Amino acid sequence: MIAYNKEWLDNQAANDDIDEAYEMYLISAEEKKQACPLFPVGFYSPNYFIRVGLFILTFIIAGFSFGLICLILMSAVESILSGLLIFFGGGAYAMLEFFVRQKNHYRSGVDDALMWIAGGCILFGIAIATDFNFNSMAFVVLILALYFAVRFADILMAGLAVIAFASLFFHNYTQFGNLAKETTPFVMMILAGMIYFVAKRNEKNIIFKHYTLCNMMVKIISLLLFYAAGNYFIVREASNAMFELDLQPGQTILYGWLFWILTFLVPLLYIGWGVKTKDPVLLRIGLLLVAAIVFTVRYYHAIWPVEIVMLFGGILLVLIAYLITRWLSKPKMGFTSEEIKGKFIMDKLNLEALVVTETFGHSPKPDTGFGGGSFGGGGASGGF
Amino acid sequence: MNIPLFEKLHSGGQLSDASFQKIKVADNNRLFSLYWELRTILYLGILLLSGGLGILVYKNIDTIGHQVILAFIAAVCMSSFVYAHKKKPAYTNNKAISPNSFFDYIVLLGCLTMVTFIGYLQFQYNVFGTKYGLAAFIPMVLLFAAAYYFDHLGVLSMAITALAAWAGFAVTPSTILQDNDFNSETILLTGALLGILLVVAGLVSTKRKIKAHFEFTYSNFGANLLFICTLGAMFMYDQVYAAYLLVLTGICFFFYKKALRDRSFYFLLILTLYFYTGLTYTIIRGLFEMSSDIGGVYLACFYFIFSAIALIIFLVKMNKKIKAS
Repeated sequence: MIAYNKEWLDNQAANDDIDEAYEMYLISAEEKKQACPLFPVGFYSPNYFIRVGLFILTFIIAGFSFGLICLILMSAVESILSGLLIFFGGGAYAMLEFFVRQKNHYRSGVDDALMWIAGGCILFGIAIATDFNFNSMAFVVLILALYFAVRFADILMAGLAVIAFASLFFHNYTQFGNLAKETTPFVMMILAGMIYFVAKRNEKNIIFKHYTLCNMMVKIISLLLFYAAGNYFIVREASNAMFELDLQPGQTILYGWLFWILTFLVPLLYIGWGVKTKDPVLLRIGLLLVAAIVFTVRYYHAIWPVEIVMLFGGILLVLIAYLITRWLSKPKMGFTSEEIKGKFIMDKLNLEALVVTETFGHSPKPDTGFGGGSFGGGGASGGF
Repeated sequence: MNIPLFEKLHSGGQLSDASFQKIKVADNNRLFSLYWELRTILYLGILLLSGGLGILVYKNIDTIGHQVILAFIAAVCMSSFVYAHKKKPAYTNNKAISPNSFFDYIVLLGCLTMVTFIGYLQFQYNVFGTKYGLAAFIPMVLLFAAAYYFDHLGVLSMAITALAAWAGFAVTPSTILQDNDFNSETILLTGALLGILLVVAGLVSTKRKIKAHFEFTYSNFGANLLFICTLGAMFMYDQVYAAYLLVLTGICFFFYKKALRDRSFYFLLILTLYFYTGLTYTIIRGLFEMSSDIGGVYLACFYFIFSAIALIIFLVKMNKKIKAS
């Protein structure tokens, strides 16, 4: 399935965990030095900026290679463009496999670029051949994105696959007549909910351990989709435009009240559930969607002028942030307002005392010779 | 935390008992950090607040209420600075640790409202008359002072932008500016000089150890300005474009040395891309001046393919070199 060396992927994850423990001063530099060589990683993954450079340059090479081929074929190009694109995409894919399997490239910029070039060329080739038919294009996107997501564990491809699947479903479901049109929002919400719960269930599954980030992306997209399907603005304007309802300003849609409730309720539920289960994805998406509530309301009911809303909204946000920060000046209920890095855990939890208590039961003796400074991690000389 | 991994390391002898205990306890007492969420909310709040004030001023500029608004902005600005002044850590030439994340944003709010306030004064009361340079100069000085006084990188960026605006006003006589007739020759030269000045400011920061962590912001602004002005000059004076390639090469060499010294992948990338743009412009122009038939197009395609491959090899080599150093 996955093209990358699985053992190296596991080792990379182990290295990241060891680095994290080191950065939190839980293990010493020596322990890190001893542990890391047990997990060798042979990938070629350059620095992030170099990756950006390699990405751009690979696109330049591919673009001008394609241009050169077109130049050589000259006048014949128009009739065979579709086949040529698919052939070129196949070539790019072969290069991609070569770089990943022979040269061990992993998120190097070259593999990222080749993946998008291969997918884009094949898609356009097929699109030209099928006269840009929506269904066949969405289907090709779905198949390609799914394939790349599975084969290269690519995050964006995973998200794209969900979007393609949802739009394919939406496009075909709405063809089924009036009842289908009226139930579309609810069916889309059910679909998004199902995708979310499948992703959620796969999260802890050991089989999908190389796809953690893809899984997160699927969760994000399905949460956004769930909200969009029930948002008043999207439902009203989309059904107005697509089903030719010819709504006048002020006119509402069927079950308009229900969509207003969903517009407000869903983000709050996301936030509440995110706080309760300490799920950062739910929490952040919920916070983001609060902005969507404001925009939806202001689109239909411009009660105050925009600058007043900005002014008071700004004051409110600053106040909220200030109050929460003050309330969490000491960690409460497992939450903290501070960044977890460096010696944070050690200082905040008084970790050494906790360790002593847990190690020696409930009667810590003060003079066991196991006092503060002798813990290796505390003395590690990081760059902080 | 991956407890099975650390268990394995513990039983393998790479991890001491104490460290393993610590990991287990830390894992049991995991905290959920709201740091970035709170920072984002604060930042959004500050932006909305100062943006709302700006629009409020703009809309009410000729009504009776404008003095009230002016007073309100002044009050927000003053109270921000008073709060920041009280909370601020003692001045040091090193990096000062900000007391809390609230502090950074209050400083930002104070500076944003200060710029609005001065702009309002100039627009409504014409305090600086037609001396537009002065109207840009005063906020710039105040912003630089605030950046150093409160040790704030965001305010430093605002100050550098204000410096660029002031330089633009200073070199362009206001009459020309009003006629919307920008003399691009002087603008390019000023830009290049400003770029050099900023790079020097970055160098001085590190050499003298005065806020050495400001160095990147100075160099980043300076390098981009210098590169863009050189490329701009290259595109404008098309009789001597090849000569500008030499200038560009010189600048690139300087930043290449700097990137190696600072182990900076970022500068390596931007110098490569700017140099590639300049080189490509020169070669493609030369190619089309020599031959205007289809052969030139073929050659251009080959140039792009092989030059990009060469650059990929260069970047891969440099990545290795910087990582090893």
